Amino acid sequence: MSATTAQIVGFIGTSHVPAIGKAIAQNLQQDAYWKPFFDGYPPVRSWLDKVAPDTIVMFYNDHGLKFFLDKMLTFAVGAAPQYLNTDEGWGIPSLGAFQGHPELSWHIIEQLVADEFDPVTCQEMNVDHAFSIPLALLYPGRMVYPIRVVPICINTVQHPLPTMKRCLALGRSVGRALAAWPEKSRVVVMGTGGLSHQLDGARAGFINREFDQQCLNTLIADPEALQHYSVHDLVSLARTQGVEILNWMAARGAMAGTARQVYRNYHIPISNTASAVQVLEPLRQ
Amino acid sequence: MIVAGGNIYYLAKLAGIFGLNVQDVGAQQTGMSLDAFKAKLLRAGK
Repeated sequence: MSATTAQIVGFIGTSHVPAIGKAIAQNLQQDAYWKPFFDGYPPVRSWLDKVAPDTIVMFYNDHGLKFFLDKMLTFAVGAAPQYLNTDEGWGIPSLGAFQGHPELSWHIIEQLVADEFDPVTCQEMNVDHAFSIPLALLYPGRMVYPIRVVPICINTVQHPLPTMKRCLALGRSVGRALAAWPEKSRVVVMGTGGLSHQLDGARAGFINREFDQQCLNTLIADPEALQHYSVHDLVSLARTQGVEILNWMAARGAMAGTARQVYRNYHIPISNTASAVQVLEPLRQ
Repeated sequence: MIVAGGNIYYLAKLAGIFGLNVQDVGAQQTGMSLDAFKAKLLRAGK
C-alpha cells in the first residue's frame, strides 16, 4: 500500500442504541447500569489516538429521520459538505455536525455504480443516532469532530432488506474505491447497530449471546463465512432488530483480507440490546 | 398497530410523544410488568 493513497487503518463495529445518547446527555457514564458499556470505549479511543484517522466511512441504518416509509432506499451514500444530527422524536440533544468529504463520497459512488450497485446519492442528509452516537463514543464531549465522514446508509429497517452477501459485496466495492483514492488519507471503516435484540412482538427482549459471539469471532478473519445467513435466518437468530449486523458486514467487507482483533467489549443489556464494540486491524498479506 | 404490521421504528415515534421508551413497549408486547421485562434482560446478561 503506497503512502500516497488512502489506507484503511482499521474497522470498528459498535452498537448505537438511542438510550446511549440520553445517558451521554445525562452524564451517566459512571452509573452502575451504564459503566460496563461506557468502559468499552477508552481502549478504542487509545487505539484511535495511535492510528490517527482523518476520515471515517460509516455504514449505518436510518430509523426514520432522513428516510421515512414514503421513500425507502436499499443503499444511500452521503455526498454533502456537512451532516447534521437532529432530534428523532426522543428529545435527546443533538450530538452536533459532522464534516463531510464530498470528493471522496463521489469517488465511492463512481466505484459503486461501476460495480453495478445503484445507490441513492444525497447532497443533503441528516444523520440519526446510528451515525452520531458511535462518533460521540469515539470523540466524547465535542460538537465538532476531528475527522471527515462518508455516511453509507443501508436499509436494515423495512423489509425487503438486502442480503448479507450483498452487503459484503457493497463493502468490497467501497474498499476498492478507497484503495484507488489518489490522495494520502488514513481511513477507519465503521459498521453500527446490533447486536442481537428484538423490540416488538412476543419475543421482545430476547437476546442470543452465542450467535453474537459467533459473528464477532467470524468477522475477524472470515466474513465470507457469514454470507450464507439469509435475512430470515438473521431474524430468527439475532432477532428482528439484530439484522443491523448487515452494517457490520458491509464495513468489514470494505477492509480487504484477513485481520487481527485489537479489542472487543460485549455487554448485556443496554436497553433491549446486547451491546458490542469491536476493533480490527488489517493484516498485510 | 404492531399486530397490524406496523414497523416498530416508526411506531416508536409515537411512543416518544407519549413519554414511553422501547422497554415500556417491550413490557407491553410480552404482557410483563416493566420491572419483570427489565429483569429478564438483566438475566440474559448473567
